[in-house]
This record gives sequence, C-alpha cells and structure tokens, in this order.
Amino acid sequence: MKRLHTLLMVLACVLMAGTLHAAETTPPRTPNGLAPTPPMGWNTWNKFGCNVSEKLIRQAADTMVSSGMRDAGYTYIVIDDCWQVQRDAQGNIQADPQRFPSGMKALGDYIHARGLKFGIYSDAGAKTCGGRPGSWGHEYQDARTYASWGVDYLKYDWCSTYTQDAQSTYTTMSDALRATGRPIVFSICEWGVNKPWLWAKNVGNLWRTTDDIYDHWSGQDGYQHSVLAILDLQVGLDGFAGPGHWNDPDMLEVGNGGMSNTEYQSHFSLWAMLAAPLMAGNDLASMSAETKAILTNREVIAVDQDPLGIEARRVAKHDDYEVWARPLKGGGRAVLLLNRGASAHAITVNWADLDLPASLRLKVRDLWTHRNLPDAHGSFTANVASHGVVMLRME
Amino acid sequence: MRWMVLSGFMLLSWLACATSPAYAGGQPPLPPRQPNGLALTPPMGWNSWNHFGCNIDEQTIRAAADAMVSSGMKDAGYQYVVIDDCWHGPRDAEGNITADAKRFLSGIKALADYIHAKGLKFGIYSDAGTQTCAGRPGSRGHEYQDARTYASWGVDYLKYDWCHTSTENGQSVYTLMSDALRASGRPIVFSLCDWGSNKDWLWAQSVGNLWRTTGDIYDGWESRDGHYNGMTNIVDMQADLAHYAGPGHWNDPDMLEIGNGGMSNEEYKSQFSLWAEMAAPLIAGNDLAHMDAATKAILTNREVIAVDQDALGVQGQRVFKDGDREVWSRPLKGGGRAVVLFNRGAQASRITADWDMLGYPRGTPMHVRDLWQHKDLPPARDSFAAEVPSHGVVMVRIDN
Repeated sequence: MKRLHTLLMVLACVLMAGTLHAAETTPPRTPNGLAPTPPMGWNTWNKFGCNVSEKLIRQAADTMVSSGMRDAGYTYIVIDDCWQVQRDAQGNIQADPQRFPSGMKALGDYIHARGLKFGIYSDAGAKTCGGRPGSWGHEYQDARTYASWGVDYLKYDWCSTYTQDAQSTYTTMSDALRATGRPIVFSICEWGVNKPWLWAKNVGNLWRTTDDIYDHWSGQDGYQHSVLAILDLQVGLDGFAGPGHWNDPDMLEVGNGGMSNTEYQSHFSLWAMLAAPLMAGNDLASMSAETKAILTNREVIAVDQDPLGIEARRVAKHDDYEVWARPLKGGGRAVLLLNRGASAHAITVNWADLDLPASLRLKVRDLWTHRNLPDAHGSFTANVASHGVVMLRME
Repeated sequence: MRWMVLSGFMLLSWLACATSPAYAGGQPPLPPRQPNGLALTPPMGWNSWNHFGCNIDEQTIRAAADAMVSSGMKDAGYQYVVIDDCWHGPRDAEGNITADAKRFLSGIKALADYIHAKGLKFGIYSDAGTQTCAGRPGSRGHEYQDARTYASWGVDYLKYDWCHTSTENGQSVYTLMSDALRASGRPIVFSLCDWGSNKDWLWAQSVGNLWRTTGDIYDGWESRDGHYNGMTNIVDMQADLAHYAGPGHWNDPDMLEIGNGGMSNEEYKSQFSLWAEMAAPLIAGNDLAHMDAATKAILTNREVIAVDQDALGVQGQRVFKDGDREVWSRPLKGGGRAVVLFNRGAQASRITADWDMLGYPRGTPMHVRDLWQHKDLPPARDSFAAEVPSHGVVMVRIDN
C-alpha cells in the first residue's frame, strides 16, 4: 500500500511539474500616478473615422482653445486609428507621410504649444482595427517612439489579438510605457471582453467596459451600442473605479446629429455621473451653440471631475424612471433623475435611496438651469422630459 | 463544519478558474502558419545547460565546438552548438539585447563566426516572458528586435523558454516569436521549451520545429529526492504523443545526459537508444572536451543515429510491456523496423519481440542486425528474442 501511495505521489508530482509554472500570475504593479480625475479631451474616431491628417489635428487643437473647451477642462487631443502606415527596416512605426508630412514630433509640439496634450492610438495585436501595423512584438520600440514624439496618452485597441491573454498583453505595454520615463496615460480598449475591471487597476488608467458606442439613444446594431445599452452594462462596475483607474463607457457622441439635444444632454450628464472620461467625438470646428453649451457645462464637468472619484450607482428604478447618485467631496451628492420613457414624467428621489435620514435638510441646485432650488428634506420630485434628465447637486 | 467551508471555497475557486476562458467574446483562433522548411530530421548538436548550467563563457563554447569536431561527433552528424541561459547582458538604450561583456568579450557575432568556420551551426537561448529562468532579460515585448539581432549575429537555432510568462497564452507568444524569426529573413530552427505546459503538440507543427513535452530532465534513471523527471519518467510521458511528430516538427523529450555521471553506461545507452527510437532531437549535454571513450562511443553510434535520422520521420512507440520488460518499434523508410528491447528491471531478462507486435505476418523471414554489437544476426521468421541486461537495451534493425 505504501509503495502504491509513493507511486501515486510520484505520478502526481510528475504531472504537476509540467503545470507548476502555469500557475504563475502576473506580478502586481504600482499605479502610474496619472489620471487622478477622468481624462478629458477629444478623439478623431466617432466623427472622422479613418480620415485623419495633421491638418485635422491642428484644427482640432486650435478649435479646442477658441471654443473655450480647453478652459472648461478638455486637455487631450487624441489621434485614433489610421495615422500609421508601415514599419522601417529597424521595425520602428512610421506615420503616413502624406497625411502627416511634418511628422509626429512637430504635431506633438504644435499641440503642446497650445497648452494641450497629445494622444495617439495603437493595437495590442498584429494589426489595428483599421488594418495598420499593430504593436504586438514591438511594444518597447513603439513606446520609445511615442515618448520621443511627446505623446502623453495612448489608446490601445484589441483587434487581431486571436488567442492572446489580455492581462499580460496590456501589462507588457504598460511596462513598456513606464520604461520610457515619460508619463503616458494608458487607455485600455479591449471592450470589456476579458473583464479588465478585475485586473487593470495598476495596468492602465481607464478601460473600456463594452463594445463601441454609436450615435443612438437606445438599441443596438451588431456590436455597436447605444447610450442606454452602454448605460445598463455599467451597473455593478462602479466599485472598480477610482482616482487613476476609471471605467470607460466609450467616447461622447454629443453633436454628431444622431440624437436630439435633450438626449445629448442626458448622455453628457450620465457620463459625468459615471465618472467617465469625457472624450468629445464631434467636429469641434462646426459645432452648434447647443452642442458647445452641453460640452462646456462646468457644473456638470465638476461632478465628473470630483476629486473623490466615486462612480455613481443606480439607486432607484421604476419602469422607465431612474435615479442615479454619487457621493461628492465635502459630503454632498450628485443626483440624476433619468426619464427613458416616451412622455414627460415626475421622478422622485427619496433620501433613503441616498442612504440619508429623511429629516436631513439639503440645499438643491439644478446643474442645467444653473439655479438654486428650495432646500428639501425627505424627498425631491421634478418633472423630467422624455429622454431627458434633471441633474442636481445636493449638499 | 470547517471542511465544508473549505471545500465550498475550493469549489468556487475551481469554478472561477473554469469559467475564466482563455479567450472569450468570440476571439477567433490564430490563422495557421506554413512550416518553415527546417529540421526535416531531428536536430543534432550540443547544449551548455545540462553540464555547465549558468556557468558559461566564450571559451567554454569554443572548446565545445572544437571538441565536437575533434571527437568525430561532427562527422557523426552533430551540428548545432547551442548556448543556453546566462549569456545575456543588459538591453541597450534602443532596447537591443547585448551579451555579458565579461563572459563574451569578443561578442556573440565573433563566436558565431568561429562556430561557422568549423562547419557547425550556432544556437542561442531566450525566454517568452519578461525574464529568462535565470533572471536575464526575456524577449516579451522585444520579439522583432531580438529576432533581428539574432539574425545579424548569424544565429541558426533559438531555444525559447517559458519562465516569467505570468498569464501569457503560449500559442500566441510562441507564434509571435516564430513570426519574428521568419521576418528576420534568416532560417532559424525554433525550439519551443515550455515543458508541455501549452500542449504544443496540438498546435505547434507550423510554429516551431521541436517542442518540449515535459519538465526538465534530471541526470538519473528515475525520480528521487525531489527530482521529478528521471530518464524513464520522461520516456513514459511520451506515450500517446508519437503521432504528432514528423519531419520539421518533433516531440522533444529534453537533452541527453550521457556522460554526466548520474547514470551507468548501460543506462546512458538506453537513453540514447530510446531517444533515437522516439525520433527525438539528439542534443548532447555533457562536457565534450573531457569525455571518456564509453561516452563518445555511445554518442557516435552511427547505426543508432541513422535510426534517429530516418527520412520517414515516424516516431517509434512502445508496442509491448510486461512488468519491467518492454518492446519498442519504429517504422523506417524502406519498410523496416528499429526495435528496442528495454529491460527496466533489476536483473537481466529475456525479452521477445513477436512479429505481430511489429506489424509483420508471422512466418515472414526478416534480416536482423544488432545496432550496438554492429553484427548481423541469424534471420528470423516469427520473432526476435535476446537476453537484455538490467536497465539496458538490445537494439536491432529488422528488414526484409
């Protein structure tokens, strides 16, 4: 019996020997110290897709200043896919010389001269979603190249990755960025497939939680998700976000024409409640007054940028009427009443939904009318337009 | 009560692991690659690790190359002189890997030139993770740079280890280095060394030329004292893998220990015979510059090497086992068989290979040649039997 036992132990050990190293996990990283509040800026993709050029980027940088968006807090000018064309003989990535004739360093300098920051895009696999060279196998080279151009932000996509492991793949680029010595915000864009909220906290500064947004209020079209579809997928993820590490419900569609201004206002408000990055995705040079007013609402931006960095939760839902709330620095609450229905409707927030005693008196301020309302206690009710919101600060 | 909580926790942990897929959300499988056209027979050569471990320098490697020629091993078919771990220095400012400046004063290119000048080929080592097993810089994130560097040095063979890979997907990272090697433009044999962890035999046929199937070999007959993979343990772990191997893509049961002193000469003969039977790479792991006559005789047995290098490239298998007595058979080009009678027992024993074990009809007269005695034996019609020493083999070639 003892001999059989020994034999079994030997066999077990022999089998384990091959798998021992497979049990290795990714060693923990420390935070990179960046993005203490959700990043704010603009990205080419939602409006311009693959049609990027240095002319477009310079114009966006100029407009970001002249429109007042920079003063409202928008910082990053991010070139999405299609800027890159091939690698040279040493394997270094090169920008499209026809669309970026002055080169990327000059473009970075132009952006920096306007008090803005420079963002760029690559992909964790062999090719980007647009079919350009990806960074797989070239991570350290590419990070060094970006740093030499003055890049401040990298969006890193997930196409053509096949059976790659997401956590170690993103950790490799995270390490490569840090090895450059230049602070570069790391935006993880693998669409939530591998549950980045579980592992990306010290790997990147923000992680996409879903497939791409498209310019619609509700519904889905293939892999594209509307505002409401994305919103519903954020439920339960709030606990994973915080200063330096944010859930990313994708870029803003405000101003792109597929929704009403009311819906765009709701989209912007919800993103602020979600402590989401505010990455404008419209044509800044031709935006309407309503679009600009939405994007530069400083009171709503202040909620998004609250230093406590606690993402909102949905605290009440009755059919199409929802209440979202997030704690703010100083003890107050941002409260959002959302009407997903087809007609205007009254929505009530009860203090119990906010984990506050009913007797507590709170100041109430409407962040879209920019008006102080009468103090309230116990509950607060407002009439909310169809597809609209009422967004309040309560202290 | 506590055991219920513990087993409940373990069940939940297992479920969490079982439901965390290697790829989710419809990630497609890797497109297949074409074979690289190399290693049409199992590679033969020498590697520094089993004897020298981390203690290598350019003098050691040059001495091994010299001895490979002077000993007659080169003429017997040994080609690759492979530096294993510990040759590395730091990466330079561009991220390119350099050699340890003290141990490889002349640089790696000069060493490769030295080896090439002797009509031999040059192998080197790296790791698919952030560090090698001995803690030197690994290739993760630098694959294309490193492949370019190796090609510029004249590397002909890369052994690619699996330490410090955290949660990496093996097929992905090995395919990546495979692609990077091809992109370098230089033909480089690719040796996957992930100890069977990623079941390479299922996917690596067009990714690499050989793949380790088990943890590292230990210079001993069988497991003991915390060493898991003695020679016979590794042999047993090759069962069921034979049909995955073929020209250009071999199972690798790890390097030879012949001459390293942990086994008897009889046992070393058995390793050499079984490795040839299994179409395994023959990578010597001893100190070539100081080997005794018995070691050299084993390593340069041309008739056994010819079995290993058989053009058909079909891996042999165990076809009979009764306690400690085993019969192995390997089909050869031309219709013959290489047959190994293997005695794992403590006493000498008579072992018989019946023709039906070998796939021949009884009553078929066959020519029999002993590959260690180098003698033709009397022809046989139904079977071949021999007295086999303890821990030893009788190896014959059977033809008609």
